[in-house]
Amino acid sequence: MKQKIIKAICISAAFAFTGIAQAQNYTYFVRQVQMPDEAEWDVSVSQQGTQQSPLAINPNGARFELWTVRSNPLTSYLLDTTYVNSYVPVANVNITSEDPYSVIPRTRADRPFQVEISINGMSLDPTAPEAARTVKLLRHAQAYSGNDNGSNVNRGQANLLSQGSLTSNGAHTLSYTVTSIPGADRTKVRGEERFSIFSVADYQAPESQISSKFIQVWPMTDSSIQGLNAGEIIKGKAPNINIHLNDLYPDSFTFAQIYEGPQQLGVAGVRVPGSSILVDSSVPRNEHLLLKDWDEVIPSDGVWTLEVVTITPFGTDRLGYVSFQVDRAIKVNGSVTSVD
Amino acid sequence: MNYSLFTALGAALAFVMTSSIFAETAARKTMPMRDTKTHDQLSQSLRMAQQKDPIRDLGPAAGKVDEDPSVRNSTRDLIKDSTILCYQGFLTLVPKRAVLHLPEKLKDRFEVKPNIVVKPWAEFYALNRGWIRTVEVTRAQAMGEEPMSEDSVKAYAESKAAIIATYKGGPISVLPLKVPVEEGDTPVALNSAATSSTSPTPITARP
Repeated sequence: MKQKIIKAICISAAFAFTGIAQAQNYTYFVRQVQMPDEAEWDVSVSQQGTQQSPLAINPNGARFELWTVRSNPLTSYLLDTTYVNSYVPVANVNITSEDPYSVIPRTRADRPFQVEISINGMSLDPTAPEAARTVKLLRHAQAYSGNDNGSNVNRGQANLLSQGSLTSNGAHTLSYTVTSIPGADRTKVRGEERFSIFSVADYQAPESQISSKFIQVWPMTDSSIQGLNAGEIIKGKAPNINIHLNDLYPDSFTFAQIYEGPQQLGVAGVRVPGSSILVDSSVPRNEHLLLKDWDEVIPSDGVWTLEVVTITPFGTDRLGYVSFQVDRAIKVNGSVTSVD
Repeated sequence: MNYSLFTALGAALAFVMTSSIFAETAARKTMPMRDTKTHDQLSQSLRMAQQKDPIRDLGPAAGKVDEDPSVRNSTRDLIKDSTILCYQGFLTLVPKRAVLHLPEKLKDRFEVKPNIVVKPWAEFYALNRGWIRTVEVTRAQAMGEEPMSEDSVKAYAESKAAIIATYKGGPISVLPLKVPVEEGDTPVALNSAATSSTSPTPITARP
């Protein structure tokens, strides 16, 4: 029964990685690499689907590699790889966060995530080879340089944060409250964490990847409001305001709202016309808002507060605010006299 | 009439004043919201998270712990580790050692050219049957455990077409023929049946 499981290579799941790749620019290849001599066979695959490999993996096991190749410039990307052998356990890694985005698991620098690992086919016989009784779990973290979004990351340079062994079948869940990707400013961490299951080396193959997944971690959004200072008094027309937004989360709705009174967290104000930005992307974005002619949302004199708010899969966050005064009343000091 | 006018004005004034007072005392509309976390708050969270890494609770890792096995795969490059076939704007990749015979006059079709479109093997082969021939090999031949027949080696050595080894239609590398191991000897690999191919890459040198 296990023979059937290990002969099957599920290609469709791995193709999920390629959701960001445009089909017309990328071509997929699956290579079956036979152990221990590493003879290679090109498995013809369709764009999606599942098929059994006709080249038996026994007796020494095989490594399956899913590649995508870009035409111009000619570049190859290793999307996924898995090692199968008749006695090596089968593993699957799944990472979830509060963001339901399905192409690549992702979260934000301040948010938690979970890693679920399922192991099957592990031998409970204490006399079985170690490669049949245990697998290794590795955790890597890697920061993207500058404002890079991971497209050119060299995963060979990732930091190995921790490693351990799994010695039982079934589900294993690991919870992380916050990412450990290196970065001096923890609010601006940008990179990925990878969790991998590796086989234990034996005479047939070196330590080989059985399953691996990574989660992308994007920085928190920051904003600045320019053109209106705290405590400023507006006596005539409302001034133009520039709002700079950095690292808007890939799934976010951001807007400026205004309400009467001093700042108070959680108030649902009136949206300033022309201040809404919807981001539906795979990577963060910077934006600039120019608020003009917004007098209609401050109809009366008094203290008012302008807030910048972003709504993401993680909830609603206030990015910044400024409280100011409106005083448009014209006071005329005069007196009426009569000449008799 | 004047009295009616004053009454109406008074009622309107009272309404405006009442509304104004009500607006100041009425509860504001609210929504769940929080201020963004600061660097210091996240640094504190990180310190706590690092002390509680659940992987450390699993016990020491088996095997080598001073080497990162993931580095091996990260250095692999499908383009460098393949033979390139490129003709009339199309390109495909086959495993190294899958090319059993390469006539001199076709050598320029095994180099990358600019502005190409990458095709899977099956599509590329369908477009280039005029100069590519495939030879189905057995698994044992591909693994270097059995030799290819002399007749077929002689036939494709004289072919004007490029010969690609395939298994069930997919290009496959044909490893050098292994010589049976004598007791006390180390295994020896003879050159394969290929008449023009790249040198075998030892397993230790592979990513």
